[in-house]
Order: sequence, then structure tokens, then C-alpha cells
Amino acid sequence: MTVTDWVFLAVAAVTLFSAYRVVVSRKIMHAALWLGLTFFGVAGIFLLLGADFLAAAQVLVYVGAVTTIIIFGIMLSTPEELRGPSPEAGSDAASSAAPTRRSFLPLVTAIGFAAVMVALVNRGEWPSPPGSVSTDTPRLLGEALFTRFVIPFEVASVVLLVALVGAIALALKEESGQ
Amino acid sequence: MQYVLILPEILLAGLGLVLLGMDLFAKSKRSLAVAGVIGTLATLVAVLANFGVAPAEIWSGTIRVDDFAQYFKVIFLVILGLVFLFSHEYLEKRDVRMGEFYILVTFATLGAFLMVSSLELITIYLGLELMTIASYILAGMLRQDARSSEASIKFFLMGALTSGVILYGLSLLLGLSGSTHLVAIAEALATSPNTALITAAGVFIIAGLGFKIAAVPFHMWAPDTYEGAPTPVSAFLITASEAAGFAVLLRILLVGLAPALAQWKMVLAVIAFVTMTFGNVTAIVQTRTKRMLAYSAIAQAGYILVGVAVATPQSVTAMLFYMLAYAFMTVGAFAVVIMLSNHIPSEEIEDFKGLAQRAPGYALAMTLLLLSLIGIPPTGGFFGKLALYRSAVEGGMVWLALAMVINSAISVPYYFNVIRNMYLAEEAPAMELSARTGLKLALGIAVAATLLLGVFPEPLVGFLRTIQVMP
Amino acid sequence: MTVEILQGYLILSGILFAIGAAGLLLRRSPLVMLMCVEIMLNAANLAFIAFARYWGDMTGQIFTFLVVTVAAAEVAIGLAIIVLLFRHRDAADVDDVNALRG
Repeated sequence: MTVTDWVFLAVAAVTLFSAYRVVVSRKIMHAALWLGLTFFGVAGIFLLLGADFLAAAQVLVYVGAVTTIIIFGIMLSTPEELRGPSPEAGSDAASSAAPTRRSFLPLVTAIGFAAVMVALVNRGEWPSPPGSVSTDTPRLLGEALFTRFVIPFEVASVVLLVALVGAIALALKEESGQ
Repeated sequence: MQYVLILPEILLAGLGLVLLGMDLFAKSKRSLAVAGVIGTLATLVAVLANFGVAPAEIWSGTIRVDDFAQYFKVIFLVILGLVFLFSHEYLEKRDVRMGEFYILVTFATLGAFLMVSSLELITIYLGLELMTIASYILAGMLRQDARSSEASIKFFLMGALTSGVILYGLSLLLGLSGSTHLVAIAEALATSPNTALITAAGVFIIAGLGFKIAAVPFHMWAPDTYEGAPTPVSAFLITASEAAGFAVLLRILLVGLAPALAQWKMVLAVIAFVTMTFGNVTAIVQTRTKRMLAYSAIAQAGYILVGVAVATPQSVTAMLFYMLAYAFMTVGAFAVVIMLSNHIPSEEIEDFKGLAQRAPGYALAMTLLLLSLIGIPPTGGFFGKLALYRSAVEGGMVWLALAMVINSAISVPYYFNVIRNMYLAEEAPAMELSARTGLKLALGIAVAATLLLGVFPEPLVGFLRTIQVMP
Repeated sequence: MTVEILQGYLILSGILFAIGAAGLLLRRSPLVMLMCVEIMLNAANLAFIAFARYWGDMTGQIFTFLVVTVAAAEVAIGLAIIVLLFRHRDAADVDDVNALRG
């Protein structure tokens, strides 16, 4: 095993563990923080794969924006006791503490699914690897985005516009209501 | 040239931006609806002008222009135009933000446009996301109504899960073929030894698209969402959103996964059978109009899915025909529901009682549209179902054709329940039933088109035969 | 990049996807479910990047770049909906969302 392999294993372990903690954390705030760590882990994997620009984007958008928005959401929508150290309301505590009937099936499904994926990937016959990607990813990404993929790029901007309009349409309080 | 070919998309995006600007300055929000209708007509002209051009891959293959795409765009524009026509009074009465509604429904249609006019997975995915993100918001726009918010959150969580699942399937396709273009994927998959992984990718993608078209067992979000969303939005989701899902399903199955098509036909046939049976049986016990129509929509999705399962040129033609007829009859039926709920907000099937006395015109129109949904001549629904049925027999799936016939019979009671209520000589509450010109116009167009498709189907069928899904 | 290494990344992505899916099925809070969806999207992105590296092609990275954009928009909308939902009821919990059963 080379150094890269060890690094990969370490980052992968951190990523998987924190993702697992997101799912089982009783306190929603802890789940959000573990989620931030998961995103960091994935950014690390991106770096290992030579996608340095996307690793940066991952940290900026996911860790910076998505996690923050989610924490805002927790603050805005969840009652105090769900955030604090006091015991969590019914269903969550029940489903993460004891393997109830409802939690049993999803767990089995997920483990089965993971096993199937691992088996499939291991059995897959991949053609011999073609050439390696250039390390100058920001330039290549920019070039591709503004030439070959200019239409998808424009559509992404429309998606952001729709999100902007929509978030205002849904969450803004009526003037008359205040 | 490539600007002319994507003129419809440009016009529609422009319409969205114009509406956004008008929303700031226009005193009367009615002008937005008028502008919307004009913009829809302009886009329709641009789409019709592109009919018959040689199939072309433009913008480095990220957009594909062919008659298949143009035809679906016509369906979307018909729905969008009718929604612009009949929504105003409903939105006013329910205190929905009109400006945002019109903007979002326009952009949702733009997303549907992009889904059908590409063989490039990146464009398809972004179009899908544009359409669904706009739809999540639209579903939650009755902000005073808790049920609308519930509709929205359920739709959102299921939709987000769906995008994750589809995306994973797409990543496997990229990994197996090294490309995101469906033609290149098909070429690579034809010689690929990884049949198990191809199957896995297919499972992800078909399950994901199954969510979008509300096929059983991926339907659990649909009744709640269709019932809780504002009624014009339900009409849009049931018709446009579903048609876009079917278009992508056809493209991916018949182009990208074509080498593995045979193994999917039986699975899809079973899904189609379960979907139609479940939808029809559950619809019988519903007492609320929109919920009944929601289950009816699931059943109809099952019928349309027959066209995908049989996967012959005839079945695709039948399916395309049925989807246009379905758009007209469903949106028309929703126009009547909207008219009624503008006066009686409860939206129970009981509300139809005595409609024939109070408003014979609406009752007659609704009867005709319901007959079309059942599949009784002389309506477009009848002809479309007949064509689907015939294609299933010719395609060697006689049992599925038989299931369709039995299901049509099962569906008779709940559709007739509405008709019975309308013509029941009950005490009719003395209430003036009126509607704006737009709604009347929309209903008139829907009824006329449903009849026209039933009486003179040949010209359209003749044209549809020339449409190729395969490049 | 050798095949064995690609498989390592794909297995990581598959397990991550399964964890996200399990969370989505297990948890009832819309916010946690939203987080789980994000984990699933990250798993798909990881697979895209691994394949992009493997094939020596930028398409996978472009796809991921656009998915990241879309995901940000999606989270913003999800949050607006959750805030809206919270105005109607005290606790935002999917189990409470059942006025529409029947």
C-alpha cells in the first residue's frame, strides 16, 4: 500500500463515520455538524481524485452554504428542546435507540443495498484505464462550461433564479400580515 | 441556424423574465396572464415552425431538435396556455401570489422543454431539476393552507430522493460508457460485459423516473401532493410533469438502454398493470374531487406506461396520441373543478350535485371529458386507448391489453359517480355559477380538442407515425 | 488510475449512498431527511468524479459542478418549505404531517 492508499482509507473512514453519525444522531444540531464533516471528507476524496477545483467548490458550497442554511433552518423551525441536550421528542429517539419494527426494514434494506453495490463493483469488468486527466482542472472546466456545455450552464443559472424567486414566494411574510 | 432551432426555449425563458419584470410594475396581475398567453402562442408558433426539420444535434450535442421533441413541446405549451387561461380567479380567491405563480409555471415548462429536447444526460438532468424545483414551490403556494405546505414538503423530500437515485444511475452509465450522450452510451453498452451493472443503472433510472410519473410502487407522494397543491398546479403536474417523465423514459429506454431493452419490457408491463389497477381501485372509494382525480391520474399513467412496456413503433405512436388527448381532457376536467371550487371551496364530489340544473353547459362539458377519461367514443380518450390496446395485442402482450379493458370497466363507477351527481335532480342551491372568459375559453378549447381528436384522429396519427424516438 | 483503486472509490460511494438512503427511511424529521438526501447526492458526485478520473475526461466533473449548483438551489427551497410548514404547526416533523391521509 502506498501513502495515497492510506490517506484514502483514512479520509474514507472519516467520511463514512460522520455520515453514519448524521443518520443516528439524536440531536439535530449534532447531525448538521456531522454533515459538515461528511462534506469535508468528500472534498478530501475529490482532492485525492485530482479534482482540485471541485474540492474547493465542495467546501465553499456544501460546507459553507448548505450546512449553514441547514443550521439556519434548525434555528428557525425546531423547538428549543430538540436542539438542546434534553431528551428528543418521540419518534426520532425511538427509531435511533431501539431497533423498532419501523427501523429494522430500512436498515436491512440499506445493508443489503450496500452489499449488492460492493459485489457489483467488485465483479464489474472495467476496460483498461484510458489516459489520465490533466491536472489543470480549473482551466479545463471553464473551457468546457463556456463552450461545449454552455446550454447546461445557462440552465443552471435559470435554476438558481427559480430558487431565488421561489424561496421569496414561499418564505416571505405578507406585508398585510405583519 | 442553431439559434433558430432553440428559439422556443429562448422565447419561453424570455417570457419568464418578462413576467418577472412585469410583476414588479404591473398594477393588475391580469396583464401577466394575458402576457403569458401571448408568450405561449409565440412559442407555439416557433415550435410549429420547427416541425419537419431534419433531426439535428446542436450546441455540441447538448440540445437535440427532432419531431419527437417538438411534439412534446406542443403538449407542454397547450397545458401552459390553458393554465394561464383558467388560473386567475382561483389564485385571486385563494390569495396566491400571482406573479410568482406565473413565473414559476413558465420556468417549469422550460425545464420540461429541456428534458425532451436532448440526448445529453447533463441537459436532461438539469431540465428535470428545473421543472421539479419550480414544481415544489408551486405545490406549496397556498400559503394559508397547511395541506398545501404538506403537499410541498412530501413532494420535495420524495423529489430530492428521486434526483439522488436518478443521479446515481446516471453516474453508473457514465462510468460504464465514458460518455453522457445517450447514443454513445448505447454504443458502449452494446459491447460491455457488465450486464449486472447495466441492470443496476437501469433499476436506478427507471425507479427514479417511476417516481416522477407516479407509477406504483413509487406513487406514495402523488395523491397527497395532487390533492394539497393549488388546483391549477395539480392540473399542471398531472399532465405536463408526467408527460415530460414519459418522454425521458422513452428516450433513455429506447436509445440509451436499447441494448438491454428486452429485459425491461416485462418489468415495465407488470408496473403498468399494477399502476392502473391500484389507481382505479383506490379511486372508487374517494369522496374528494381532487383526490379522486389524483388516483385517476395514477391509473392513466398505468395506461400510458403500456406504450413504453410494449415498446414497438405502434405503441409509441399510440402513447404519443394518448398523451395529447390526456392533456386536453384532464386539464379540461380541472377547469370545471376550478370553476366549481371558486364558488364552493370544499372540493367534494358532492359539490357536483345539481350542476346540470345550475350550469348545463359545464355539466355537459364535464360529462364529455369524463367519458373521454373512461375511454368511450366519440372522444380522443377512446381512440387513444383503442390504439394502445391494439398495439399491446400486436406487440404480443395480450394479457396487458386485457388488463386495460378490465381496468376501463373498473374505472366506470367513479367517473360515473360524478356524472350521476351532476344530473341528480337534487335540491339545487340557488347560486349563480359564473366564470371568467379565460376559464370558459380554456374549457371550450379542451372540449373541442377532445372531440376533434376522437372524431378525426387520422391526420394526427398519420403524422405521429413519422416520429422516431431513435436517432 | 488502476481498476482496483477505482473500485475502492466506487465502494465508498455505494456505502455512502446506502447510509443516506437508510437515514431517509429511518428518520422522520424533514431537516434530517434533507441532510440524508445531500449525503446521497454527494455519493453520486463522488462516483462521477471517480469515473471522470478513470476515463480521463472532464464530463464527469462538469456534471458534478452543475449538480452542486442545483443542490444548493434545492436546499434553499427545501428550507423555505420547512419554514412555511413550521408556521402551520409547532414542530416540523413528518409524522405530524397527516391531514392528507385517507
